[in-house]
Amino acid sequence: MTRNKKILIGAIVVVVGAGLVYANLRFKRQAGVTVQAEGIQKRDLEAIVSASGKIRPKRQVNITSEVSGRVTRLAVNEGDRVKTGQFLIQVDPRTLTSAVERGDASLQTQRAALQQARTQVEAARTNLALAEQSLKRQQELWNKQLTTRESLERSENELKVREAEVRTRESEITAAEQRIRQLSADLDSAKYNLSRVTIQSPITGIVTRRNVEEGETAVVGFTNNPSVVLLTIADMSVIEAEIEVDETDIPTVQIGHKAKITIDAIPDKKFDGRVTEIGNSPIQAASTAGNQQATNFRVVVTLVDQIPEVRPGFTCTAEITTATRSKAVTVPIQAMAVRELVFDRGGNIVRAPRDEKKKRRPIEPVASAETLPAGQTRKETEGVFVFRNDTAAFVPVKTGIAGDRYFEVLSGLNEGDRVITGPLASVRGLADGDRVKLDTKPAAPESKKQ
Amino acid sequence: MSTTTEDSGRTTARMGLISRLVGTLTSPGATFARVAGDPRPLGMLLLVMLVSAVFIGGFFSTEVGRQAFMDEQARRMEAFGRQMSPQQQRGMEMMLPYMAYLGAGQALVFIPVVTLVVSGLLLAVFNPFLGGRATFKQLFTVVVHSGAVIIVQQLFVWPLNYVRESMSSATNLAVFLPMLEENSFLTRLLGTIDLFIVWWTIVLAIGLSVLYRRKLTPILISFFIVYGAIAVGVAAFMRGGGS
Repeated sequence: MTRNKKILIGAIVVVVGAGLVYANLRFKRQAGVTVQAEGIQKRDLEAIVSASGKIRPKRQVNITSEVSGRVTRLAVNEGDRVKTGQFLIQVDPRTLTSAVERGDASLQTQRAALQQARTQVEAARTNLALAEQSLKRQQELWNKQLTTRESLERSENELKVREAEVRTRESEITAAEQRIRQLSADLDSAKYNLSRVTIQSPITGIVTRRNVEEGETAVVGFTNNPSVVLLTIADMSVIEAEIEVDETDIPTVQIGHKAKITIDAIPDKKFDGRVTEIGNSPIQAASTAGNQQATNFRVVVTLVDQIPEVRPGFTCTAEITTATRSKAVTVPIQAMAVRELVFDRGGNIVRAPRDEKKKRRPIEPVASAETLPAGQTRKETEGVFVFRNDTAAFVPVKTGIAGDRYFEVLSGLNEGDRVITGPLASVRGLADGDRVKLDTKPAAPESKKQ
Repeated sequence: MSTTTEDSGRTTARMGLISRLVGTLTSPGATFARVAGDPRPLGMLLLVMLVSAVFIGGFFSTEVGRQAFMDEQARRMEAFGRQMSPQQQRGMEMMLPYMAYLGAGQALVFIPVVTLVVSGLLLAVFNPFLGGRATFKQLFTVVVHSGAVIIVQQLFVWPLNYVRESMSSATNLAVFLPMLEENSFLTRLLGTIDLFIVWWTIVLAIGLSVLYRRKLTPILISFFIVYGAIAVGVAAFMRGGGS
């Protein structure tokens, strides 16, 4: 190796060595995890309780037959709109028509019998009058001793017989009148039964279900065996969403709360509604996790709008606005964290001293093993990490209502504070005072109302 | 310290320890030619072990060194995607008073072991596959003398580490590019390429080329390929572990 080459290599070694020394002392790689931060802003906030359920009409009538018989005429199909009183179904009337005619004939017969009985009463009364006159003559003759005692007694007995005959005939009239009343009632009943073979719509609405065809037999229900529903008519002028709300959300839901309904079958549209019923009894529903049961409560939201294309049974989702805040200080939900802090007697946070040169956190004392100085207490505190001077400072916050993506902050933060929002793994592992680097990539755009 | 020895009919002065140390750094080819002819590894091995033990133990005997050790442990765990638990931290802090002895002892044990292993591997590769006829003692002597670079490294790095209060490598390529993201693959790759290791590799390759009378370039390229593959593997593993 030539002398010049050696000098060159030596110079390179010296330069590289000097470069290493300079780089180590001059450059310092910024320590800490890279985080994203978001400036605290005031936003309009809505607390939403979301639940799914089914669309149903407010009023729905199941049409059944009150008489058994074959369906001879069917005037409607599913989906037909009907009005109150409109003819729907005819059940075979022949048996009942015969019953009416039979009853009518019996009634007429009985009326004739009554007339006959009345005539017989008249005749009996006439006979009674003759018997009275005969007895009177016999008594006058007896007083003058012009007749025999036998004749007198015969006249007296004749009178008694005629009197009994009148009473008998009169009772026959009463019986006939009762019989007429009975037959008349039977006739009315038969006529009513006949009227029930013609089924008319009790409400104005849509035929949402038809379970019968012409020629099939309608069966009357009895105890423990309800009659077959022939038709279902729904009044779609007032529509409701019957949803199941989780028990944890129920206390915040009140009658009158506004709601937005999304119907799966009618996408890209939201319909307004209001809470009109809140159930008091829980509905036990199997959760998706397995055997665990979720406890829900039935809530009814009545839709304000009329939706012509809606059908009962459509799956829907209701977002009930349980609270609103205007221009509230908000913090992203993913920024919230819980840390165990030590508080002094005055409720101020006692922060452990931290050596800025160290990359490590100070060892956090184990709760069970460590005894705090007198007057200090340790408790789990909800808060956020605020980006301050390249460190993450844990700031306890008091939260209000929760929106879709943001919590309302009642105290602890001010507008302009930069809250660390992610990545989630970093927020989860952060401790108060940790050094962090700010991710300078632009955040995704967001909507104003949350 | 100089003595004389007979080699191929010529009489040459025996090199002293300091001469061999300086010669390995300044004229490695000529020095290795003489060292291979008169293999005496013990003195240099003891020197490398002693210097390493003194510097490592000395560093850990300072508070700066102990804290740098703790930080380095935390940094390494984070590089593999783990966090040091309070229990682990407590355990390490209990070891801190003994770190000077442990560090020195580690140097005294590991340096000869590693040197033996490297020598054995090189012998296993060069003798049967490349037809070399060097003895283990010769090869071991070459590997031991290449450790002169380690002595320079200790001298160079110790004050730097003390000033930086860190045990992280001060002589890797990543220190020149502080703008790179710490956990990026490129940073980790550059971080595994240490200039002193590169220097040691070159010196060792020169020693082997002299010992086996082969061209330097193929040996050097082979070593760099192996080193590069190890560096890529380590960088990828650390990145994968950290993600």
